[in-house]
Amino acid sequence: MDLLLSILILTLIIAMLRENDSLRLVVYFTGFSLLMSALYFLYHAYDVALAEIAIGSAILPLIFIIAIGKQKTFVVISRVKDDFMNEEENSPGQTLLRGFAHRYGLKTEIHFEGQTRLKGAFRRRNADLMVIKSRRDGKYIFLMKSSSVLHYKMQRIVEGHRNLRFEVVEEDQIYD
Amino acid sequence: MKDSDSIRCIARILYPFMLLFGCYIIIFGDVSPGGGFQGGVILATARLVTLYIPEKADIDVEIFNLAEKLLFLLLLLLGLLSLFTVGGLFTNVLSAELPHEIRRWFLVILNLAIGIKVSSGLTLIFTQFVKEGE
Amino acid sequence: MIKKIRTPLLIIMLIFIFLFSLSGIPGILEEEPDSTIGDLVIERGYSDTSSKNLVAAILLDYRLFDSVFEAAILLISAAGVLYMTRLPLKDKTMKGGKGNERQ
Repeated sequence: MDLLLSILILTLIIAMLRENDSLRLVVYFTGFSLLMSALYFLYHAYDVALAEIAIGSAILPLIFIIAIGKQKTFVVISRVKDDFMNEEENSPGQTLLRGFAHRYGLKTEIHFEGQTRLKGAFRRRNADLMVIKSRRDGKYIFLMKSSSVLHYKMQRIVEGHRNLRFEVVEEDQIYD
Repeated sequence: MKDSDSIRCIARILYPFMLLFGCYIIIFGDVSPGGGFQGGVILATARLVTLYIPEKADIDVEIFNLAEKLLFLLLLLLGLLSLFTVGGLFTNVLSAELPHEIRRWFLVILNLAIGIKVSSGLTLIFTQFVKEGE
Repeated sequence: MIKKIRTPLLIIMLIFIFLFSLSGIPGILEEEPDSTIGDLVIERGYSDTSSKNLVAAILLDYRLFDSVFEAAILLISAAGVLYMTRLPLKDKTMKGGKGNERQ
């Protein structure tokens, strides 16, 4: 019986190693910890089995799934609301951003906010990108965190457009 | 997720039993398998089930934070107390001459403290995670 | 020069560390000792700690020091999660609130 369980656990581990999709990985991990707790039970380690079954199959998958869901969205905060960027999906700014996010397998989420509120470098909503309008030359500025992985790629896209500019902000810098 | 009637119904039935099982594991931690940590984790999982019950979904995190801090201090105090009664740090407070039925209460109190601390800590962690994920 | 011999040197060192640690495990290179700590706990656990569950006897009496600081680890991680998911510090100092005004 314990040999059968060990073989099952080994196959699950190999399946986990060869898996690319994160959500399936979490499901495999849940099955792995269930089988592990059964094995602990067979070896008379009841205390460890209780802890493993509650942590490994309920709490850790929840945390992982929330983290994965958070990672897959591309959050944009826009302070501009005119022809370039508005609530309609086919406005040029939204098409650009949605196309960019779609290329990297992300889901886009755009929030519109008023001009008056000051805030730190996007920390409150964990936004990835912020759109504002420059007062001097009327260009639209795309702001991204310097810690973001995607900001080089975004910069390359923005350089092709004439009415856009790209800027990088540090983590705790306040932009008004 | 929260709209399914059957899941909500089952969660409502399951919730008190999970609480009961967690409390049982904590209180009988010194005579049967289990203990403070395991029971606390089961209590935290019972809180996880209430995410399906819309009326109960909102709680205040500050209470759990406060409970965790105070119970950690209580644990440290219980550990230090044995220096004055027995003469060694971090052992049973009650001396070895007393009968086992009385000395057992120290373990029960310690299990309760650890269990409530662990359950409030884990509840705090994933309540914040769920809030952040929405 | 150093780069060429670094990897084999590391492997040889790891093998030596593995063999050295193997020699500490009883029953492989040494003969088994007469009694281990498990025997001691089974023999004296109930009379020392008055707990019928010997795992609880170890966790709550013999190794209570470790258990307390295990709880401290959980406290620190919960405090970290709370710090990361609350309002940022600047807003908090401006308004003086306790983080109740989450959006």
